[in-house]
Amino acid sequence: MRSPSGALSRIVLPIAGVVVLIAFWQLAGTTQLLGRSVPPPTEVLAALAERGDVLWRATLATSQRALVGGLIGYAIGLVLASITAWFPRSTTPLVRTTVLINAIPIVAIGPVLMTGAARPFIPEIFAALSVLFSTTLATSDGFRTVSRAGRDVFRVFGATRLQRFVRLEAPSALPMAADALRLAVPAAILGAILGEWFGAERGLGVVMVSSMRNVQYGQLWAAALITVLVSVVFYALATLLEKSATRRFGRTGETPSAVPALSRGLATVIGIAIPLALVVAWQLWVLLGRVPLIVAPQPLQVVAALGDGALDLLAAAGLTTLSALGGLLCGALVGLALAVVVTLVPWLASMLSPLALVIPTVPIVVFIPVIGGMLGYGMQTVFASCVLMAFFPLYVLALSGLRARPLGSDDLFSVYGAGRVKRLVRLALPASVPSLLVAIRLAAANCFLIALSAEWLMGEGGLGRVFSERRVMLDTAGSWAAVAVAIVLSVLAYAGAALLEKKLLARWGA
Amino acid sequence: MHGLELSGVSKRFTTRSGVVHALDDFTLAVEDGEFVAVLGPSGCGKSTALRIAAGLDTADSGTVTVAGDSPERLVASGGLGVAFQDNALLPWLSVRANVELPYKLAGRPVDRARVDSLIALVGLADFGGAKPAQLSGGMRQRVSIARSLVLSPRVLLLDEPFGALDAVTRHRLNVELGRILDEERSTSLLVTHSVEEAVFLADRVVVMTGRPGRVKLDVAVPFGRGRSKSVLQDPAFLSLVGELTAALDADDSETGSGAGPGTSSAGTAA
Amino acid sequence: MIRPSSARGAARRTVRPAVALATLAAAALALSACSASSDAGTGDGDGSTPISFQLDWVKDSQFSGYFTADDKGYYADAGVDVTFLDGGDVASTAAVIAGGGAQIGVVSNMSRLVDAINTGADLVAVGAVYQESPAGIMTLPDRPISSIDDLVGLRIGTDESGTADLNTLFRVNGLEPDYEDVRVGYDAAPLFDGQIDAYYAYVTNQPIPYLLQGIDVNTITFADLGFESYAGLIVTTREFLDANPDAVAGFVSASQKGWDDAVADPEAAVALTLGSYGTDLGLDEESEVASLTAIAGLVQSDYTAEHGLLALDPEAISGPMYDALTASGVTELPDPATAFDTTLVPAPAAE
Repeated sequence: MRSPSGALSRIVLPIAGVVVLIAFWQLAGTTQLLGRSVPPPTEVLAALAERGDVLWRATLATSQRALVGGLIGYAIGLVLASITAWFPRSTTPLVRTTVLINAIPIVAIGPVLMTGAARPFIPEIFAALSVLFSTTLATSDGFRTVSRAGRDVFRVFGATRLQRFVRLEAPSALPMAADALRLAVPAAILGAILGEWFGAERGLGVVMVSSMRNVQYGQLWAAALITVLVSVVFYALATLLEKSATRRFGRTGETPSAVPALSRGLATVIGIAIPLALVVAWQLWVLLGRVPLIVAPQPLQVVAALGDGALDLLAAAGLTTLSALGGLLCGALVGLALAVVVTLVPWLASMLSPLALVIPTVPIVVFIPVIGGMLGYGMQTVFASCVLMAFFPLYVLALSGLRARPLGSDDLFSVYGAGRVKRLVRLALPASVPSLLVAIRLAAANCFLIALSAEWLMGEGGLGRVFSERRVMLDTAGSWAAVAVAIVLSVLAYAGAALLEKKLLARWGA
Repeated sequence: MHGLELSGVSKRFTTRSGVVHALDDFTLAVEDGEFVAVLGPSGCGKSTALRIAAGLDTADSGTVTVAGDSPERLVASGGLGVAFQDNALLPWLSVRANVELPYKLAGRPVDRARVDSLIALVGLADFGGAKPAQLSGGMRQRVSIARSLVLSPRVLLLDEPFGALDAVTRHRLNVELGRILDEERSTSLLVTHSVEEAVFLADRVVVMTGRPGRVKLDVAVPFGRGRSKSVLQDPAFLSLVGELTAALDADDSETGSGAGPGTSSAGTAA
Repeated sequence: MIRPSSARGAARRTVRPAVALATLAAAALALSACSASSDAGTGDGDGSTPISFQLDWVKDSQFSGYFTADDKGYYADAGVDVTFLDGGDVASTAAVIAGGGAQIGVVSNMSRLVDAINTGADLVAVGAVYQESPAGIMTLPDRPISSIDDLVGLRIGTDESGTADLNTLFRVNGLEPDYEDVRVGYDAAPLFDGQIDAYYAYVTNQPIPYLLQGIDVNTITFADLGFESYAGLIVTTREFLDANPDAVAGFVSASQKGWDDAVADPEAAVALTLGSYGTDLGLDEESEVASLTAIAGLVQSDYTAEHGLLALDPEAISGPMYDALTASGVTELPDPATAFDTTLVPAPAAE
């Protein structure tokens, strides 16, 4: 599936793609085709030249925060995943805990962090939290791709547990850990920018909000463009690592073995114990820290708020669910379709690759006026944002998955003279099913968070809007109640996707 | 003292479709330095017996002694070598690194000369730096065998090491393996479903019944070590192969999956 | 981090990325810890009181009076050592102050202060920059707004706090909110693209760049539509005020001096803001001067002419402003005497 000329596809076509993109942008900017908040590239370049010093310092600050926070989150994710490798029975409780922590919207954590010693590190903390979950999940799955035969070899040769980990499990997990690194890049950068909104002296996020309010579109887009470039650079580095890991350690399309089942009783106990422990910790923190209600409510106050506004919350939850799940579904289809196109038509792939990378790394706040300008403000824009954000993990993992084949199967298809399409339909797509299912699980865990932030920024309704209105009125119990509903929905979405994965994998033959 | 002894071993597995009796009161003894081959129909539990001997599975009942010790203790002392059905090579390591792996796992210094000679012995002298994916199936199996021998194990377990190979390659590897094992003199247990392979390599051949596996037939092979290809044409060889094939067929017909009519001639215990 | 090397030591190679990651992370953490600790203000030995001052937005010229006070040493003279904390729109400054994240801070308007106090937060306002809130409505020239009736049924673009303010505006005028709420955020572009009829804006902020570009827009403040409220309130906790009455009074009087200077010379105040405080925001000097000039009009009133900038008028609070809050649906209003300390702003010396 290689195009005739490597240089053409690797260098010329992406440049052509970028040129086409910029040409269209210039046209849209000068004619205000997409509304007046899209400045032409020339205006953005002017801002880059004029504000070079400010933007450079902002870029350094944000990159450093994203790098530090992202690497810490990534490292913690690797450690947690390693724990699941050493103690397979810890997989379920650990993954459940990270699902739960991941489901807590960071916009709800920010105000709490602002009153404490962690305040200067909010961007780093957000960057870390943004990558923790996907890293833990993907790497933990990676550890479980170790074959039984490999394990047997290590046992009969008397390997110690450490030897088995270092020489067998870690190398097997590396390709997926590298995938997680790729997913982590835009997540860490967006996390850092979001964190900067909670108050930072400099940074791309700060420049963006300030420029937006002061109608400095050129500067706003310049900051956004830099964000994209930083993402692209880090992403390219991560991709190099992923490629090298795959080449060296092999990606055989081995399905992760099943998570060791806990007894139904123990699973139930853990399922209740983890959230309960978090709630108890929260109660203790409020009580012992004498945290005032304006910073954080007590669990019972949130329960009361849940009861008071049950109908409002239910209606809002319905709307959010529609955006989240609909966005997930459409995003998944778009991501898969794009990955398929990219696999089938290498030259188009080369042209599209910059665009496919750009879309998820553009901070959503910059896109809102654009999408709003095109689609109108309200639910449709929320939905479009959900699609845009959900498509990325699907695209990344589908692309990796489509490259995974059982050993020797490519030769089999060559022998029978199978063409590109046949190879895709009968070999690559089926072989990529496990990767796709992991991607759907990752996206499902995040789809409610995306819907929540989109609604928060521009929704007419939904939990994000309810959260926003109650937050502004300093109704902390009420806003946390909306958050609590979102957390439950997130966890349910993840559990649903996990169940779907299990069922489909059983049929797939794993 | 026995090199390897499974005594009264039973093993059940619980699967989705119910409980499977893999082994029932299975007893097998291999003398020190002896080579025993175990034959049996598919799914008779012969691989399970080998896994139990290797300490990879534990028996529900019965005792297992390997080189006078428990499998776990033998494994810990690096005295066990196993060649697996699928070669189980680490795809990211070169041929040489795969063969060296047992040294690393046992925490012993790598004996480079021995690694080199074993790689040469299995005919891969030119492929030390290659990755498994670059090798043919037969070559990978030879790497796996070199790896199983590298620590000069006191007990060697071979689980259908050539099961997936074509007849020609298999014959050639059998000859090579026979030559290698004559040099090593480990206590060896081979699990296979090829009668010729069993008779060609082993001092003694054991035939198992269908599930649950028990010993049905135990025959000494009337040839000394250092067999050449000419043995394959020896009438004694052919008649022993015929007898054992018949014993296997009988079992196949009993379990309903047999190909042809069987003439049972069981009962000649050695 | 995975570099091709000899085939030997493949396992060692697997450890290396982890070590590299950890080292990088540790180094970077140390780095950011250093830069962070250099930011944090600490009291110096001469007995001045350290005060973290929480702003409710990034350091632009709407805070230039404070920056002037800091730059000219008014705070040092008053015995306070002020550290400015940047703000954003995503977190409540009232919560930061009540939670101990800052000793003093800016709370955007009366509604937010009362909401905060009603959660049990022990807050007290000791001054207000804006005598008249800059919150208002921006429209295109063909749709001038002069009374609440002109807003009925319109599509109004809002940001997060706009909805609550607009609802209050309708209720203060004896109407139930009757408009289409379009959440557009900080961007006024939909107004020009015809997707909304009116835009909730700070009249000192969003309209300025358009006016400077020669694009004509109408603006009207909520006060002119009958909804009076202080804005940019200086707020601390009762506990801190009781423990440090002199420091708070010193902070307020020094801030007043700074604001006097900024109002007198907006160009200088903006130059200071852009040159020394909001250096990393990419602000446009011309816009900021125009903005601060507009702010100056809202900072000064007949009352401040007599009682000094930042002054709080007890009668205005318990009169029209509390009436507006009551109309907006707030059922329990705190006693003005505990929620506001109107005694700390010094009156100008009689001429």
